Amino acid sequence: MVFSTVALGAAIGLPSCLTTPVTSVAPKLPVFAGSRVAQTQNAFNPDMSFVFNFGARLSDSMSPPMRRATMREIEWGIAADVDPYMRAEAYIAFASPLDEDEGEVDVEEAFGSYTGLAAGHDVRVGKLAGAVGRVNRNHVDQLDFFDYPLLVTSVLGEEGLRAPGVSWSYLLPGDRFNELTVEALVPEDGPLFAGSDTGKPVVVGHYRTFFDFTRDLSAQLGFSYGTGPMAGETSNVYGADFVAKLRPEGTGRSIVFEAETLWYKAGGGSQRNGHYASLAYELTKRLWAGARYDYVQLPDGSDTLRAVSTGLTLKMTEFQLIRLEWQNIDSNAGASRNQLFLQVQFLIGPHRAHKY
Amino acid sequence: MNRHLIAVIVASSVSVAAYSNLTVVTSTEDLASIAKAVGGDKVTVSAIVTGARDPHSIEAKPSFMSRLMRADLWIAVGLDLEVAWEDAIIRGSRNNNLRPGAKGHLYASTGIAPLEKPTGNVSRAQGDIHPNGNPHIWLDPANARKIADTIADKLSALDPANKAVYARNATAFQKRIDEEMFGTAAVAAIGSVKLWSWSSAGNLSAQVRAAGQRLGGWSASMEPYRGSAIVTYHKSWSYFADRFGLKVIDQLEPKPGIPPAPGHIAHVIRECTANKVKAILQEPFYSKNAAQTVAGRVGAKVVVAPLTVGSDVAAKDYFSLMDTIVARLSATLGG
Repeated sequence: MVFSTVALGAAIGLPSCLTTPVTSVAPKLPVFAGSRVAQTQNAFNPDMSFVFNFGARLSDSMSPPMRRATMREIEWGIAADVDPYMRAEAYIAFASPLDEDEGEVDVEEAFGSYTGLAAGHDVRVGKLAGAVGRVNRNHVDQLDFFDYPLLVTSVLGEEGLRAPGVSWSYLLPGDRFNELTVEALVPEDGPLFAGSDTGKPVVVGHYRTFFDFTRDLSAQLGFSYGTGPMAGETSNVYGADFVAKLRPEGTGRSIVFEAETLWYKAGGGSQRNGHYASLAYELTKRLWAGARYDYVQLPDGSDTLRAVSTGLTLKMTEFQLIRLEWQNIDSNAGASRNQLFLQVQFLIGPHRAHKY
Repeated sequence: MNRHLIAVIVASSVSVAAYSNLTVVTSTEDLASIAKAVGGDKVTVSAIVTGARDPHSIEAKPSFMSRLMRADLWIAVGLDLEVAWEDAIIRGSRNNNLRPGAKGHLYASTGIAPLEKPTGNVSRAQGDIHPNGNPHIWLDPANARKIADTIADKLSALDPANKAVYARNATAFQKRIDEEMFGTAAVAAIGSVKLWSWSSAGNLSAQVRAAGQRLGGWSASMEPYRGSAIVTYHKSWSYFADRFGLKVIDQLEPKPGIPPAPGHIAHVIRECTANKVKAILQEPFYSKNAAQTVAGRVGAKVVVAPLTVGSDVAAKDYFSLMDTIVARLSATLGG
């Protein structure tokens, strides 16, 4: 009796990617000898890139860490297809933060994504940037400002919510882009979630939709929800994120508006919230001006922080930028601080994607 | 009753057959124009890069991913023109049939010998160069002919039932290219193979005269200016210049992707004066300041021409794109 592998696989619940013959995709291995073998193997080396991120801070505080310069991060990006079913990506940071005395090696993200699933589905396994809002999923080098908004660093964790786990996302059929993402994560203890494990993971969900109003004007709107343990109780977070971009053809005068808000309750604490809104304007082909307002109530209920940031970014090429940014940060506890940041960031390696 | 039901089923089958079979998404509107000509009513075609946008610098918008999710075929130019966003939108679409090497993926540059392929070590110190050669292939009408064949082959592989239709449409497209390029009379009297061969050899006018014929079309407009020196903003016009025998003496960009700087502009002004440059040819999406500065100093004119279909109201399809470039440039060179 002859069985169809697809029908047999479907009968036992396997996805089509594991049952469809792959001979048309996977080339037969050539039989080469000596140095030809080495040359052929080089073709399978992963793409690699390095992003160098230098930062210096001048502050009205006389504390030495507030007047420090460091190579704050060298991010090593690695990506390649594993086989016809999976692609692997890793982003490893050799970090020396301005606020810390010692450097560290941190795996920012490292995951395998199954590429051959049924239409619209994507599953990732590994260490992931949690699907809470929009900016949490960006790496430092992708930000329009020197650092993450306070909303991310004070609520989700110093580097945001980045944790091992599993992510499933689904691109809904239809003319409009609609994507739903659900993740189960086991993060280290942070301001909002603590004490999670594989039996009690943090579960987050994000929905986003995209609008192409005209050729020049587009926007993306997202909603988030997350729940997980916090010291024997449960934390919840709700959020909304929005970005709109106006890029008039041929003028080199783009405007990007971005805003996010989160409402959260850490364990048995009270309901708190935080927000940010930013505007970036392309003054000339390479020069951007930006401003951001941050407001965040710390999850433990102790304090409220406000910050205003404004700066100029000179994008020398797609591979290098120089940024000068001033920030005033102030808390209801009375502390206020002015900081001036200089950032020089440069990239070597393959062209990185122009993400929206 | 049953007869009515059968009639309805047959009628709906017929109407389904009349609809397009394949959904094709292309990176540029030039490729969309050629794909529409080849695919006819058997395909639905749309392009990602619309209007006067630089195809190098497109953002991977989520709406592109939705469009690719439903596509049967993705056609990109290749040669790294779409390197900054192609992979992101294909992966984002989760449509594995469109990944490079899969049956629904096509690089239109397949089989075309690229110009300006760097030799020796390649580094970004040379600017944002394309390691596999200049990707602006569509601006040589001979390459448009080749692209039509490449697309016809791919559509035939995806939709074998309509192979003859695609072949017929590609031939019709190529015939029109020949006639627009050399004129109907010259094509009829001499044949397109000889004409393209003479055009590539750089002796088209002399050979056509020797054959007792007269050139028409784009060649007739451009042949008087064979050997003329021009300056361009970016290395976008190399294939066009190569086909029509124009000498591109320099670019306003000191290196690809690097905006003009005063020292380089001064150098270009000296070159323009020495070579009696009459036209500075540039794409609509770059700043015209540098071009106007140089033109003002040397008595040349700035010719802003559409780089792609859709980047100018006059460039509605491949033929009107070439009509517009030829008309604007020849008017300036002859002025």
